[in-house]
Amino acid sequence: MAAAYARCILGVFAFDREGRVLDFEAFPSQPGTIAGALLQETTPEEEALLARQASGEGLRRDQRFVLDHLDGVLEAASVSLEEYRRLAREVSFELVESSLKALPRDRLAMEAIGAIDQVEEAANLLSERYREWEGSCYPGGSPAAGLAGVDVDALGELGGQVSALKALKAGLEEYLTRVLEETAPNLSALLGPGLAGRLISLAGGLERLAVMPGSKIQVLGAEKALFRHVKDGTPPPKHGAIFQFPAVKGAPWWQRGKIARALANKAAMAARADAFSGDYIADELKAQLERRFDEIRRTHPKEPRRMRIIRTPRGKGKGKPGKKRRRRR
Amino acid sequence: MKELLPGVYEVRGSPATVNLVPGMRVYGERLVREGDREYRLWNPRRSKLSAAVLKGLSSLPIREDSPVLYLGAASGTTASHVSDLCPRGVVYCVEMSRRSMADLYQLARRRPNMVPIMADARNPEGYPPLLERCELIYQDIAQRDQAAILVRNADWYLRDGGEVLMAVKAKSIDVSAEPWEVFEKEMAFLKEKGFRVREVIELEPYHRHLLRARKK
Ligand SMILES: C[S@@+](CC[C@H](N)C(=O)[O-])C[C@H]1O[C@@H](n2cnc3c(N)ncnc32)[C@H](O)[C@@H]1O
Repeated sequence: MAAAYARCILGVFAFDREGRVLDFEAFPSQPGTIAGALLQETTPEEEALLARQASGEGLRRDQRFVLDHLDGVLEAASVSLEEYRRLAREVSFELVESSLKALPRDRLAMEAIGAIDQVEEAANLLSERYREWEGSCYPGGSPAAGLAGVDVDALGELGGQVSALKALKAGLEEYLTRVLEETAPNLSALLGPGLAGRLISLAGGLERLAVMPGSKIQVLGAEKALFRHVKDGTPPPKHGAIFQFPAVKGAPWWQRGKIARALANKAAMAARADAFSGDYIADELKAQLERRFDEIRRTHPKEPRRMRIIRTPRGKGKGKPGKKRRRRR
Repeated sequence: MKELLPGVYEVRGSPATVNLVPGMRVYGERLVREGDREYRLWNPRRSKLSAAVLKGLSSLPIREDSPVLYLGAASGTTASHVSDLCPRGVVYCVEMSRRSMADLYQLARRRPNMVPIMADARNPEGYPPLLERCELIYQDIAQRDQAAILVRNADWYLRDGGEVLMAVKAKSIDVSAEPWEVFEKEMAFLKEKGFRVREVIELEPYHRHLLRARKK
């Protein structure tokens, strides 16, 4: 009686408890077709095999049977190990090609962020101009002497464009939220779509963000301060873009770095889940993060002494430029 | 020609492997013809495995026909030398970065024993079902829980008595602990999971090690 079934590139195989192949249903032999089948949840071959093996309760799928009894699988299919490896390589090419060809939707999010930034900048610039112009037409709130219909129309046209830009920005933000909830559900749930998109953008893509350590994510967007730190020995930045996050922004200064760090670490995990595993873990991450925040608040309730000079190079006075300062830990 | 380890030769003072695809360079390395063989110099600055060979790694469990699982192949610098070492075997190269995979794919197209797999090494059960149990798992992924990841992969894809080589950068595992402490923890974990640690090679710059262990 069959104990389990498993797939490999050759087809679907049913095994008994000792791992002997009892039955199998072969895939067609073209690598492209096999790759397509492997991407499917279930295949017609599986259904056919399971229908034949209907032994009361359903067979469980256990991929290990193929690994542990590959000899038997090859024998049943009369395929040599060399042929199997050659086919595996062909199939792997098909699978990699299809993953590489897939539209990287995080790029779209980055484009949208760039557009939102520029639209916002343009809207701010134009609305400033609008207000100034409006001030000339209506000094003190009432129409200036000699204000003609054409003047009002021209002003109104600019005003219309400013509103249109604001509407455009709102529309793009909505689009960004949608793309991000689809491509980076964990990161958007954890940080909100705006900040999630910002980090992806700063990192140069979701995948790049996903391979960054938390310590780097923490200071993304603070590159200038980081550069100063390396060059001049100023204190390292404690946060970059993630300062926008309410719990970071709202924290007292002596907790802020730790909170930023905790947040960045969870953001790293969220990005990895989004980029690679696809699991939804945001709720767990949020709960863990809340606990970590509480712990930080509990263990660092008081403002510490602010700074201490650890050494001054060449025995110079305290206030001289170029001295090395370290924040006390 | 001095053979440092089976399949690894010393050529012009550097480790080298016999080029599986004569005439083809992978990362700008030098090719040296000697008799009817072409050697590819294996730059120890570019590859931890080559550095470990120079530092006296006592055994490299790769035979001519070995199946090898390589985790974190990046664009294939080291993996290409591993592929030289098992010309009649196979190297399953797992890499999750799209960028690296694009290069690795091109490389694998030209090397008949390389099989690229775009997947997350943390999820070995999620690899496409085209692998086999291997004689060696080489891991170089710089992840926090790398020993656990290695053990999970071994559980699925390592033969009994197979070996693992793990590149450990103590710092990437846990920034708060002392590097050696981290290292001890990783070793203890491997032991607990039924591995016998055979040797540990320290590489320059420090805090980087290559650990070789065997599944009991
Ligand atoms: C230090 S590089 C490897 C260099 C390579 N071993 C060599 O010597 O040529 C680490 C690689 O591991 C990959 N990586 C990190 N985490 C991974 C994971 N969980 N699954 C698969 N690949 C991973 C990274 O994308 C990166 O390309």
